[in-house]
Amino acid sequence: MNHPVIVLGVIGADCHAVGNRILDMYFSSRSYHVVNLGVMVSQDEFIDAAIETGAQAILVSSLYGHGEIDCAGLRDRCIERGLDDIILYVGGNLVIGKQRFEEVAAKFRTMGFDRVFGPDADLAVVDRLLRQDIKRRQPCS
Amino acid sequence: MQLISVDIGSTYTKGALLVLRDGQLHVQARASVPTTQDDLTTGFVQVLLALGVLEEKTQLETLAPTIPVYVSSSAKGGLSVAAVGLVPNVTMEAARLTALSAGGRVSRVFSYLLTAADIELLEQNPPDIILLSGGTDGGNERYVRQNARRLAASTVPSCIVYAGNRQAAEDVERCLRGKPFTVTENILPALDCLNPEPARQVIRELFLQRIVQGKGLERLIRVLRHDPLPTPLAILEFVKILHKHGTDLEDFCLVDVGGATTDYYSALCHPLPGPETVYRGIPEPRIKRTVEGDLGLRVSACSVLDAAGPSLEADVAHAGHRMESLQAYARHVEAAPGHLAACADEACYDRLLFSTCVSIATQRHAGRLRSVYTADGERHVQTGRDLRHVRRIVLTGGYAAHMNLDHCIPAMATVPVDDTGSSILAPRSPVCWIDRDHLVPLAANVAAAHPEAATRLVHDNLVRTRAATVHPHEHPRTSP
Ligand code: B12
Repeated sequence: MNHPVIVLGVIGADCHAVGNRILDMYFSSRSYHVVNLGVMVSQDEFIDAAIETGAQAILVSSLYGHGEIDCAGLRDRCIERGLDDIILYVGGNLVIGKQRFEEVAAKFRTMGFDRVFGPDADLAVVDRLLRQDIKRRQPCS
Repeated sequence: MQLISVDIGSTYTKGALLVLRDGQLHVQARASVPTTQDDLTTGFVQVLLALGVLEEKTQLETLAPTIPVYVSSSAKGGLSVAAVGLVPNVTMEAARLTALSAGGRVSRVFSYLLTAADIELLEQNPPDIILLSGGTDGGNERYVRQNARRLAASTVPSCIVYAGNRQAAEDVERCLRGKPFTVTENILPALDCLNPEPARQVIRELFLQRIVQGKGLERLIRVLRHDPLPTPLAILEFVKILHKHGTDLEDFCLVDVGGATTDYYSALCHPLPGPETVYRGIPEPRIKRTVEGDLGLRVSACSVLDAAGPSLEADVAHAGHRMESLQAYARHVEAAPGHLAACADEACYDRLLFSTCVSIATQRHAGRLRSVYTADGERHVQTGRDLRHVRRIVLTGGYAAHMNLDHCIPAMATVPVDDTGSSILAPRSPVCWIDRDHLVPLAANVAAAHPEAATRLVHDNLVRTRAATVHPHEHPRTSP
């Protein structure tokens, strides 16, 4: 298999740039082909980039606390625009106030995200899971 | 040393005999004759006769071989290109930009899959070239393959230039075997990397083959010691040279208002914003060309009035005229594109149409800036290019050269925001300069060989106008 292509970006009006750089450096070093859209990325920009680059996964970051609003409808929009089986991950500061991570994760999974991560996510684990997920979705040809 | 430069336009064939002395170009003779559509060489020979470089009745072939001849042609208003991309904001936009930067006229744009109706449109009204793109290298292959298959199954005779995902190139080529077809590098090899140059080169070569076919240009080429250039491409290359060699022309716009279209060129040292602004879209090139097909002084005169904003009415009233008279004039010249302003009123209508073309084309060429309110305060998101700091707009074209400069050209107001509420990044307080003797296309022809002299020639011929484009909110209008 060629290097898997993944699209990264920080969704909505969020301009926390540091974590995004770290994800870019980490996944590039793990021989992914990283298409990094940077900060303040709209849903359509994620999808445009994924279509043109033929990406297998979109990794959405949200740090500033509006993740739930910004991410709503992303899966539906992907399907609408022809990305039927793209892998969607989300991570960052998704928990606000006294919520429990598990509740929040369940909410994002219902929204269509395949996996949900907190700010303390171990990127080596993310890498392993992502490879598994990509392999599973490969058409058996 | 003498040089001849000829531009075969759609209406006039213009020429100049130039002398290069001490690194400076001087115009020794000028000539202009109506373009002879059935055999372009007839008009060409007439120009040479008028310039005094050919003796009456002698054959073109006897032209002194010591005088280099440079020719450009905008035959048939340029090459028509249909741009096919994948996502509208990504490769479709890249294909459109590439076609324009190659001097083409974009007849249609398509995204995603070509439908049966799209193919039918292309069959009924085939463009000269179909620029087929889609997918970054290693990216999506599905759409370009499918589109290639659909084109292969069609009767579309156009030449197909493939400039999409490299991984699909061989398949696409196999699929389109038997059709006129060329493969070149991807116009968007990666999302943040626009690569128009190779496709531009291919389109240029096709253009040459095409303008040479018929119309007598083959004979011309045998005599010339240089390939003819498509006029818009020659001007685009010249804008690059002016940008590099011209004083006060580091960042500038050049507008060519013709009878049918308004061609807009801009050169910027730093087309992308600094880190304080978030940029969205495919990266802006340093030199950019856009063409407005609905803005022109003759064939498109009525559509200029349709596109004009409310400020035109004020300008018309200010000039002491009525909107109805201007509309009647537009209808008249649209039906009679050879018409030249015959009286002071008509000259004024031409000036009003002209300034409207320039201001609308400026607004369309300029990028947009919108504010996004975040928890952290206001942030700016930019798309397209920022022309706000541009101080000079050069106005060229036959009509511009004939504008009477004793009269003020109506203020070319650009509105500060568009319908969506985004700020329009048009020049804030530019000064317009007119290419008085219409030397830009003639100098453009010789610019590759003599860049500095050609720059000087045009530079010294620019006349500052009293008209300034104004941003109404920043500079209140003053009466002329
Ligand atoms: C620096 C900073 C800023 C800077 C950002 C500068 C910049 N351009 O980058 C400034 C001052 C501009 C800023 C502004 C704001 N900030 Co701030 N900021 C921080 C701070 C202190 C550090 C962020 C950082 O760089 N962390 C280091 C990087 C490496 O970590 P990271 O971003 O979390 O990313 C890692 C993980 O989250 C994870 N990850 C991220 N995305 C994804 C995606 C996937 C798929 C996976 C698997 C993993 C993953 O991997 C990354 C790499 O290890 C944090 C507090 C903190 N300690 O985290 C607050 C914080 C993020 N900010 C916060 C807030 C509220 C704001 C503001 C709304 C206003 C404010 N009160 O300051 C604005 C919002 C501006 C905007 N429009 O985005 C809150 C968010 C609260 C929430 N979500 O519940 C935080 C948590 C502070 C707090 N405890 O209140 N901020």
